[in-house]
Amino acid sequence: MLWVALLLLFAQQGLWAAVLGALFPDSRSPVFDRETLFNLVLQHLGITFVAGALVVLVGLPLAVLVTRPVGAAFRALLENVVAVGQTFPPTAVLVLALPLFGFGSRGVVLALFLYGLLPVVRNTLVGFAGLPQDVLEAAKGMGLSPRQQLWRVELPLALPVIVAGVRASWVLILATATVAPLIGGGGLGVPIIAGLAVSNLGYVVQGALAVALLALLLDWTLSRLEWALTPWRA
Amino acid sequence: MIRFENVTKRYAEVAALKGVSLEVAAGQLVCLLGPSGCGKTTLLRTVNRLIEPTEGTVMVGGQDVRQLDEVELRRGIGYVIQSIGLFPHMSVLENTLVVPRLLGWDRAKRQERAREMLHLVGLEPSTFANRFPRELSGGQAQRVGLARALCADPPVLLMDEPFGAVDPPTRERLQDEFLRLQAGLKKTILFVTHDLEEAVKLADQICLMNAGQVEQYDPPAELLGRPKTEFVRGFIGPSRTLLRLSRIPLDDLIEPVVGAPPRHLVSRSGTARDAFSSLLAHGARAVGVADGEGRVVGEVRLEALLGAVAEVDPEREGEERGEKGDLREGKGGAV
Repeated sequence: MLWVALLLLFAQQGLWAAVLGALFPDSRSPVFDRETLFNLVLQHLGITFVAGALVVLVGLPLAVLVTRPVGAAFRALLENVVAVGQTFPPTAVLVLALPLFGFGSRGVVLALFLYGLLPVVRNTLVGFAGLPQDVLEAAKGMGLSPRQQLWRVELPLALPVIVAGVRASWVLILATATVAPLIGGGGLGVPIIAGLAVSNLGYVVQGALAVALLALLLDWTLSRLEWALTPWRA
Repeated sequence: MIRFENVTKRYAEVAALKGVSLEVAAGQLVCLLGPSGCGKTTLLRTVNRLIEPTEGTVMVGGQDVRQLDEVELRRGIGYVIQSIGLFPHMSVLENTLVVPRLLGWDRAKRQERAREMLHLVGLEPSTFANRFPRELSGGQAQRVGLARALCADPPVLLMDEPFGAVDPPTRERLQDEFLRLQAGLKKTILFVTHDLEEAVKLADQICLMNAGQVEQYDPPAELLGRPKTEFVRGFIGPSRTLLRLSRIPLDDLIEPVVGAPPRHLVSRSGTARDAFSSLLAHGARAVGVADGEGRVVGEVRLEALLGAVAEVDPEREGEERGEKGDLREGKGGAV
């Protein structure tokens, strides 16, 4: 519901023009007019979703793998790689990705993927490390196979912490996706960077405000999901 | 049913088990008793292969456990631990039917069985089935743990200090109910405890361990009455006579009332210890015994109690008096 309401709000191009026009009366063009705000939002969500999905699809299995006996040897490696992934500035990744992917959204997705990997991997590891030992012992002692222990006990119990990591990661990705226009990607970074270039504060506010609203709503949605997935907690 | 043959477990520096041999007959409740670090939990965990012995063989139902698939083996053995380890994300009912589900029982059958088990351990399914573990008291959680271990009807139960974490009144009630259950179920049970009183109350046989070895394996009355080693004597301590009284059913000591009707009564279902306690409290030489309806059926005299606990004192040889009064003794001795 809130998502529909927010998207409808972004679709009101005229309303944004009126409000920003009132805020910045000196500007000839207070609202970004090369693309509608609604389309910019969709592009932005698209980039966020692809990078976010990749983070979960790659980060979660890798983190689970290193908590198993077979993958334990790679645990330190994985932790270091994701830590470097986050300390490395996404803008630098964008530039380094240029020769690989050229201009466009693919390099952006790569940069955001590396940037967002850390919270998911780290929280998954923390989630598994914090599992109650007595429950694991009972599971093993009752005759759950290692696979059943993972799917029926460990993952469900670690889920709240993992989802918290996904939440942090996705909000981070959503906000950082504003660097996309540096290498020709779309999204809400477009009016912000255009606004900086031509000193049009209206553009900047328009982009930043939209990102902030989306980030808040995404965070709230995922926190609701976190609770919905774990009715057994107090 | 369970046989340990020269079971040894060595860790890098220390030996946790030093050649333990022990046989547990089917339907018996054997307490592994001893101070912490004596190896009792280690021994227990070799049965369901949570620990693999360095040397020796563990047999369950005539089969060497190493020949069995460990997951299959564990599904056939009930396992209860002190911290219970209920799955916090599953309801009480789901927790209870975990093993039947693993065994592939059909849904209706396992649900019915789980409800039956909850009822058996004194948790009304209509009230408790859909609760989560965090909504249970310690005693209730321990009951669910027992129901879960019993649900697939395994012939063997392993219990590692199952009543260690609940408050004393609850513990006593759980012990009583557990004894009542076991009288009907006749499971083969290995029960780890460090509590002498608990072992004396529950066990058919007590295996007293120290430093990875069996010090004595005997029925409670025998262990209390004839400690074989200095360690056993020290472990059971000076109150062993009182403990022995607690294993003597009152029924065997009842005599017809002589003289004035008794002023104080104890319940016929109690033990000699209850009677002795009443004698002490009232400074009397006899106490009346009442049946379930409160009718006096006789009395127990101090002399009868003294006779029942008379024990062999190694320092006063020649004064041996025969043991009497313990009916539970000898229900299958050490092999």
